[in-house]
Amino acid sequence: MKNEVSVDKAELIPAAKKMLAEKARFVTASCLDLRDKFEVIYHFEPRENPEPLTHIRVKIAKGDSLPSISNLYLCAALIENEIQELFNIKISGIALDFQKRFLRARESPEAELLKPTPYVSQPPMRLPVRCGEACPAGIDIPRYVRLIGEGKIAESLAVIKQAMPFPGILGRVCFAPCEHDCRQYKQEEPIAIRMLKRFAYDHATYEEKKPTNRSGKRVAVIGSGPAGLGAAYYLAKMGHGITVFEALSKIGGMMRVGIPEYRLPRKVLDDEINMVKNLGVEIKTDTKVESLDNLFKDGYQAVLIAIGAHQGIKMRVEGEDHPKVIECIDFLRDVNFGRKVDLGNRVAVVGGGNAAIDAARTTRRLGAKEVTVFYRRSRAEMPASPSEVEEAIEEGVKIEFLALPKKVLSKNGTLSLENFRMKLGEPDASGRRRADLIKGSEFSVDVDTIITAVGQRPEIPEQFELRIGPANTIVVDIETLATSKKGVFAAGDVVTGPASVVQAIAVARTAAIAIDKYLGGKGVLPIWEVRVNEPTSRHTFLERWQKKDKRVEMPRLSTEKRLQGFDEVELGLSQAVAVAEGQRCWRCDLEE
Amino acid sequence: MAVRTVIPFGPQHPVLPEPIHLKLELEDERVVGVMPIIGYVHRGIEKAAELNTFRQNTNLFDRICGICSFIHGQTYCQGVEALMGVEAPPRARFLRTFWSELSRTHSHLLWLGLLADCMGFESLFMQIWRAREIVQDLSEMTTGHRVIQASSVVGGVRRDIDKDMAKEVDKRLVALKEMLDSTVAPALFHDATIKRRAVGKGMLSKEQAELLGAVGPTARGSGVAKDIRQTGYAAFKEVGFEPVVETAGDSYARTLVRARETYQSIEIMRKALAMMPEGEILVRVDGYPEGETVSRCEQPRGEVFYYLKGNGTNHLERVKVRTPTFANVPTYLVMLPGCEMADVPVITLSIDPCIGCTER
Repeated sequence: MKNEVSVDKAELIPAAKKMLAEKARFVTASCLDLRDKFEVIYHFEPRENPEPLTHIRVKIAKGDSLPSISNLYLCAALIENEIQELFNIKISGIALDFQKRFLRARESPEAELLKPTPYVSQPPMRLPVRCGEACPAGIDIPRYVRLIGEGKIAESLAVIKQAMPFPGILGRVCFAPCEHDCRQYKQEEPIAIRMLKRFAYDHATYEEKKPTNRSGKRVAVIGSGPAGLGAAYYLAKMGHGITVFEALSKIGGMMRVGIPEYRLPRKVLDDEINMVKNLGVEIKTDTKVESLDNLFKDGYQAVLIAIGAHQGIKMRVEGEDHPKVIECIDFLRDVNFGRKVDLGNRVAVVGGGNAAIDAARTTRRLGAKEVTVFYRRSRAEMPASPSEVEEAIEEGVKIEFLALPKKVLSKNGTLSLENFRMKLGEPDASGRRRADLIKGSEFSVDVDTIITAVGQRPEIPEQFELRIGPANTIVVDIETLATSKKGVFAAGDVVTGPASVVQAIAVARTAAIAIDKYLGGKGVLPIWEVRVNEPTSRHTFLERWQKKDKRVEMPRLSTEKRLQGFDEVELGLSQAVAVAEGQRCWRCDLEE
Repeated sequence: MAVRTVIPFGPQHPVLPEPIHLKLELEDERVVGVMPIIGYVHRGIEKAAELNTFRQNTNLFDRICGICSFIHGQTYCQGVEALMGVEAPPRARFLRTFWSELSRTHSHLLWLGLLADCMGFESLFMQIWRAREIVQDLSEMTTGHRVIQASSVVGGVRRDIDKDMAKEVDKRLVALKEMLDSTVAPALFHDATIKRRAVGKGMLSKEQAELLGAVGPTARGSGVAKDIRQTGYAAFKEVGFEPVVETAGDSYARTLVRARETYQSIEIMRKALAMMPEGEILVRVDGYPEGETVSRCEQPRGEVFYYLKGNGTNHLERVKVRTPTFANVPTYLVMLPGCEMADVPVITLSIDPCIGCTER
């Protein structure tokens, strides 16, 4: 064999010492019975290159003994023991004591190293929780709820801010999938997670850290909705120069256009927008971007398209072109921009989503006496959030379930909406029960105005020259959000079709990371862990069996006052109530 | 005052698939000393190898271990080929690479399943073994047997994989990866129960691993970047190989190494099949082995070592096998003391003990 050294018995230990000095690894030893004597070959692996092995050969007479190398190479003890037993060669001084029943190092110089790691009890581990996993923005929900329960409101707000820049907006308009996944939902008493978020925003301040380093890169963001502003916020924090282009005269996108003031007061929205502006983000209103190439020519290295889905979808029924049939999104935009809309007394709203309910409640505030929402399925299938439907009914909105518009009739200046009656069938692909027509069940209702709210889709200028997918959305890479054009990214409703504010904010973060990486950054958001001394066991602070298992009720404005104007309906929680609600959490994230 | 007790663990124990006996010295619930005792399944294979002809020995060594059988045969054949101065044809080297990775995938999935079972995570155990079924089907399809591939012979391999079969294999490997992605990986990488049972249990530092001569995933879980595949035997040079290393040194790190290696093996198999050159799979080998050599390969559990000595006859004079578990058993000496009695099963299993190999 290559690399072999023959030594006699006395030279074995010095040879092994030499191998140890070279930091070679002991592989094993082979023993051969050569009839008149034994031969033991020790195989070592050199440290630098694993091949070829070095072999040290020792020949000994039968009945002779060998010194053990296990004081140098502890791992040799086991094979020496085997050779000793199988070939009956006496090997003297094996470092591991096989006689004393418990295998322990006896006289090895390395005995110190062999000391087992002292027993350390594990620090409690946090478990993934259902509410946190349900949050599209990935907010550490159990932690901020717990901090509110302890009265640490500012820390709680900081925890929310770690994941998402706009707690004030989401605390009011989020549809709160977390509450549906709360473990107390089964008892119909989920923690009021959204209200607590709003409470944290209203009762604490968070000092935004300004970006310290400048990357010198410029990014154009088209659209100032939740996705655009969210991405602008993160990109600005990463040190890029951001310009946001807004086609309308006011900033906020669908948050300003689509969400009525009684749900999201304009002061909150303006405050959040100012927070983003204070980071050095430039926002240009009344600027419609016509061409992406011009942006690149103007010196922007990357573009994010977050123009949302602002085009209403038609009902596709006869007589829809009547001037008194208006689209929900246009109607809300006009109202929210302070333009006068002539509605008359009787209004019909077609659709069952949040937009339809918003439109109906807005018309009530504008003075319409009879407002009816027509929806083709029943209340259980309604996509609008239940609390909003409830509030709408309180405000005198009538909801006509199981009704599908057949046509719009106009005779002698009077407008009427003819509907089919529906019945519910088997669940369809979306999991909701299918609505089937009942033939001959048509009924008509006389109205002054019809508002259609059957969906929206993005409106993408053709000059962008991007790949367009189903329902007029932009096709993007799902991981990087990159579009078919180099340096152009897209996020929000323009990619997904109409979704929610929280989803848009969540994807803004992904977009910001992707753009930073595209610009040569590491894609690391400058976010600091909020360090608070928190209890780590459920039992240290929670009296689980205390009777406080009723969900808090959000105080609301009285119905009369609501209809007088656009004042915010939800009034917010008081400190005592919010803290009690925070304490009601079961702390599923803590282990014991 | 702590109560000292001695608890015998094994050789028959619900979590142990193989007979190893641990005498655990306990102070209350804490292990303070351990004595591993082996010797329940010694079969005298090294002696039997001297009595068989050198060609018959391939079949013998294929049966040293039921789980990593192929690599034993491969290592032996590589050793004999080195003695006789022949080299397996390129296609055979790629096929050997494929089957050795197949048996690694098989072994790792088996072990991951056993680990889940040992933690009482029965559903994960079922899922992992469901994925392992694909591997066994592949083994049957390509070699004719679900466990013992037995396809290495001196001078090459016994069977070929034709184009159609390679396509089908590739399809099933993709399916295997998807199945792992959807069912196994989320649990292994994120499940809190598994982390709780394995993180920080059975610590083995890098120095200790080197001192005790640990090999394979046991050493790589402690940050020792050592893998015999780096030497580029069979077709690993052409296919390319980087060892998977974790640094934490606990049971969880060893689990992660094996989980990640499973994915790596799937990629290597697909690459090997795609890059496989056309040509012979077996060369004619004349004469008898003479001289001495050592041959090493990377088993799922670590480095396997063969020392071969031929004397110019049809029989080898001496074959010495050092299996990976033989090198890994001493790590119990530092991994077990200091842990709680309830953690002993997971830690014991974490080196993937294969006592059948160890005792030969």
